[in-house]
Amino acid sequence: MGRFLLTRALQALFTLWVVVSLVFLLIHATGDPIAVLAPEQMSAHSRALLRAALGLNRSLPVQYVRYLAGVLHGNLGVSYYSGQPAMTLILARVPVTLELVGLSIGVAVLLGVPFGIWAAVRPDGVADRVLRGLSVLGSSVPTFFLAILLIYVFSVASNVLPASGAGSLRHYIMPAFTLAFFRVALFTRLVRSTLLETLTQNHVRTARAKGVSEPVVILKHALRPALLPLVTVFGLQFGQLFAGAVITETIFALPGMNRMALQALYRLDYPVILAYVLVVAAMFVTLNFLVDLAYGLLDPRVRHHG
Amino acid sequence: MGRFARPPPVATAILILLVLVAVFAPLIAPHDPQQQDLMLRLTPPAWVSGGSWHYPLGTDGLGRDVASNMIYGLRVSLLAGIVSVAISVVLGGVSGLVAGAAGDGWFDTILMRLVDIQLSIPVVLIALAVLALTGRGLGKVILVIGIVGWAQYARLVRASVLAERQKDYVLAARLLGASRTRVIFRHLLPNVLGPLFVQVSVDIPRAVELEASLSFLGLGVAVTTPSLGLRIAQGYQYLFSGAWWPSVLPGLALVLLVLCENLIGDWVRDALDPHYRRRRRNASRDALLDVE
Repeated sequence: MGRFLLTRALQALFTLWVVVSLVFLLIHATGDPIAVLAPEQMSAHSRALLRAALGLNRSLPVQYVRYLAGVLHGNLGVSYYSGQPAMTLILARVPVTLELVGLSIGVAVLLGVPFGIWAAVRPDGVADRVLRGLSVLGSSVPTFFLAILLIYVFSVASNVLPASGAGSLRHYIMPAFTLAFFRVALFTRLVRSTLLETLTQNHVRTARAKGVSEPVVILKHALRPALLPLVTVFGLQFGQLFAGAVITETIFALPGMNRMALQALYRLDYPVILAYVLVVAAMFVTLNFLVDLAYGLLDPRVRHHG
Repeated sequence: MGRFARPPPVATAILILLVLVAVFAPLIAPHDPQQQDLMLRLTPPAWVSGGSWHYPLGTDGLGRDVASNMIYGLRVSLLAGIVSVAISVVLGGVSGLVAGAAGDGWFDTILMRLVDIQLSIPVVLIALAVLALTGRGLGKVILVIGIVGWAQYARLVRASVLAERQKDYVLAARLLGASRTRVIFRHLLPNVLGPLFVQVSVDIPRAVELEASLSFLGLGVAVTTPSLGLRIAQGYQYLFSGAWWPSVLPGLALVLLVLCENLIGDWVRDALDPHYRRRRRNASRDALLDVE
């Protein structure tokens, strides 16, 4: 187990390094922040001063090394716009995003898993067909359009829910549902297909032959192995969740880190973009690690294999 | 059920209709999509009180005809979907074919590491970053979506080639003196086409959605291009004053297009991929590919 943890930690560090370096290269290969940052009428001398103040006059390798050293010290520089430390800015927005992402995962699992079980119990029954239809629809409605439809129905036409801002739980209902919608369809399909498979396996037949009641057979004997792929997809979906959250946070004006990163992208605020990438990558790596651990808990066969 | 299930009739008919509308847009559109009629801005659709058949689906905040913008928007969507996937297929297909045919060389190792890294970062984020830095435009959007999509095809083609080249018929061809290039193009490539086609049918609706999402976020096409995503974004601000048609109607057109493409994609998958014929809707593979 110790060896397993060590390997994973090293892999995680390597991934972080690759991601951080790639973003650094991508950003510096394509644009000059001074061109965006400096006002039209700024003199060449002031421009040079600004460039020097931001460390952008150094050669690329020097900037890279300084940047990596900064990352290791938790210091990513200050935002070109607000002058506040980039990492502090992003970290201040993390709770809003985590609430949004956490709530939508909750909605997706709480709806998707029971729906999947329901559909698998009677394959090709009414519930199964309706849910299958809905899941195709669910993967065809773009996030941003679903958000607009919800806003029109619940904020403009009926004024039931607030269309923007964050303050109370009610502000999160529409964004969380928007972000969850697609994943409800995904989880339903996933649980249905894997459950259909495990229900035909020998250990389920044995349980039934022993006289175990049907709900227990499904929930205990068949569902547990069916949860493994769910955990895998859960890990894979994490990145997609953040991508979806960019759109959701923007439309619902939720002050989360994804919206801030998008604004930083619009105006080439490098330190903020880098801080965002670093935070997302760190979360991603941590989550994958947890997914690996969950694997071991759910499937004894995976334990002790790195 | 025969060897191939029949295609879903309604979805196929609607998709053909949408493609025809896109192709013949200049003949069908009642107005020039760019033409502004500021006196008649936010005219509601014909069936709503205050609407007229002059603008059957109403006008947007600049007085542009919503119907004409939707018709031209379908053009942009289909173009973005088809061309960008074609770029992905060529880039990924060639690199995957070379990696698979060459076997366990350094090229293969490097390529697969690149694929892993690329697949771990959400496509939307990469595309957003690149477009923020390079500026917008339909050509750039298509190019970015196309390039970002290469990894899936590289992996798919490489895996198929690796599986195929173990088989006896490839050995037989080599023994008969066929050159490496001939084996790749005459024997391996045709066998890779099935899974490739399945992937293409799944990716086209995704590319359409991605273009719309990027344009919606303001980092896609130029402001004047009649992209459905961009028109939805521009119409969205009038939603709060009750004018739903400039954003909701283009959105419905987008959903209809993507829905039909998805339904046909499901059919292609069931018809061509033996793996899916046995286990329909393997969602764990879907999840690897899904974008918002």
